[in-house]
Amino acid sequence: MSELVAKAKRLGMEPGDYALHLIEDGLALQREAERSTFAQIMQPVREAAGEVDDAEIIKLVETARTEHHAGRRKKR
Amino acid sequence: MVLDTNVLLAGLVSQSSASQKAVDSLQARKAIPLLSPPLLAEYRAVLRHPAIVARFPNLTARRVEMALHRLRYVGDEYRTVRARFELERDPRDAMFVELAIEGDATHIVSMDPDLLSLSTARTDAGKRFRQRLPRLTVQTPQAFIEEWGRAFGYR
Repeated sequence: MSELVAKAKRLGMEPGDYALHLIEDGLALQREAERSTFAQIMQPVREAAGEVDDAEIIKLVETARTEHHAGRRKKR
Repeated sequence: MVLDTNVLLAGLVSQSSASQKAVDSLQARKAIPLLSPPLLAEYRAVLRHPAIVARFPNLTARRVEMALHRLRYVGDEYRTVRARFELERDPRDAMFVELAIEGDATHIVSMDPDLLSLSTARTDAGKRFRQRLPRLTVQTPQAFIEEWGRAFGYR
């Protein structure tokens, strides 16, 4: 909550207006996602990615998962 | 079906791969991804991890949120997963199996050797897995597309 108030202040907005803006932005994103295919959403990523090797993906995901689950254990 | 995180990432970022075909096939709901809060949290954390963003700079926060919204739109989400399954070798993988039990999944699609071996392993986990999920197949994306690709419109 304090983060939202601080961010609103930085943007020169009332916290309530900023919260409404965030909700509207989230709903717009949701509507756009519902109208789009995965191919459309990911087109720029897929075009720029070049050759993607499964071994590279497995390694990247393993690193990210390890950090994610370590963080969850610390929070408990 | 339950999608392992490595298949989701490979499917989202690659232009032509079995994982990409598996992810794109979810569009028509011919295969329905099962979702849960911990699985979505892992998907989000992995897709937004600095190492992954560094490799795929166009994978912006907005694009990740759109992909996850899209996944929720075509998927079946279980807010609570009561099923429990112990996996000693990698407890983090238990959530995939637990979600498969909860949602009565027919497939787990993964590139993880530990998960892929559960269908045939003679270990205690393998035996429990087959007892609780006799109808479930754990497949690589390649095997999944070889079996179902034609039904999804791929040659």
